[in-house]
Amino acid sequence: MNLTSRVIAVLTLVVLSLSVADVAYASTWTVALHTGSHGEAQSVALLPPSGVAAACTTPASNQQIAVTWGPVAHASEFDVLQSVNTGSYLSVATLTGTAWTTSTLSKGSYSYEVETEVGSTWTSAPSSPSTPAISVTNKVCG
Amino acid sequence: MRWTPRKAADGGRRQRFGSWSTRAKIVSGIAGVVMVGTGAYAATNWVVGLSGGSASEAQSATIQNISIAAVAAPSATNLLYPGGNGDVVATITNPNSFPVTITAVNLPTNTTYASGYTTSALSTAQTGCSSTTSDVVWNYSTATSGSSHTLTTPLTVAANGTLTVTFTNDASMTSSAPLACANTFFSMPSLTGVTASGGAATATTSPATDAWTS
Repeated sequence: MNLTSRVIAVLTLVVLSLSVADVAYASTWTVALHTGSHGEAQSVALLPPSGVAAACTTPASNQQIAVTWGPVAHASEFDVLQSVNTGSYLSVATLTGTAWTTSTLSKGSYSYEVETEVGSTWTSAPSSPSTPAISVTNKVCG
Repeated sequence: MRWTPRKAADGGRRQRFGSWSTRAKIVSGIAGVVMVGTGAYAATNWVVGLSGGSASEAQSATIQNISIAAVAAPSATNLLYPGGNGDVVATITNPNSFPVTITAVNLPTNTTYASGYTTSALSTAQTGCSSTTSDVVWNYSTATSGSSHTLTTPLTVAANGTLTVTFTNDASMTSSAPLACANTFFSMPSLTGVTASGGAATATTSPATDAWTS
């Protein structure tokens, strides 16, 4: 083979090698996936707030009780439930914060629970009740 | 092809290739190379359907489907809640003998819901939190199946290797998801495809973190 033929042969081999490599490496395509190719996610556990506490505001003659509780991640709102004289707990307020104060209360024994709301459909179980119960007597709290 | 050298008019310093001129030889050689190269390139630019999960078999014997599987570890950092986003953890398996770099994912529709399970093993269904009720979808999915979403960072899976990756906040739960889906593990809806390229790239270290953000 003369020089020209050798040059052609070498060039051919080089370009062919590049072409073969191109098959494996240089292209972009949409790759098929095996059926059921997916991933895993997880949702939060819905918990009521902890540390629910109730205390008379000052002055006691206001006949008001302040209720506080701890924050809950992702909570959109909290429901405050009130029990009077060990009766059933009924919702008395819905708010976004972690504290609430009653209006002027009448005579009785009061305790509170709080529920966590997340979104429009998730409501937690009630928290543990505030203890001890707060008494309002003779127009004075406590 | 056989050629016979013969002396030229310059006293034999040049040779001719039988009945073909040197120029013809070169042109034909280049043409042949171009044809081969074009064929090889054309063979690698294909779009594959996903029916049965084995569509690529008819396209090429050398490029195989990749797999993406749910995996429990590492656990997700960002968890789903109504109106919020959460992480998705997956393992990508590349059965090919060359690295594959994934640059985008193709998502099912935004009404294709994940299925809920009681544990990370995804073996026991969560009552009331099924693929018809969970309201958990891929984030940024649209009403059109197969929408493409570019990864923040390309992921390279080693030849015959696996890569575990956390897609940050790429699952989404609507604000009206049922309470039954609280404290639940989800098998995300199947992806419809990925956009990838084969290449001698450095494999991404596993476990990795990535995302699509639009």
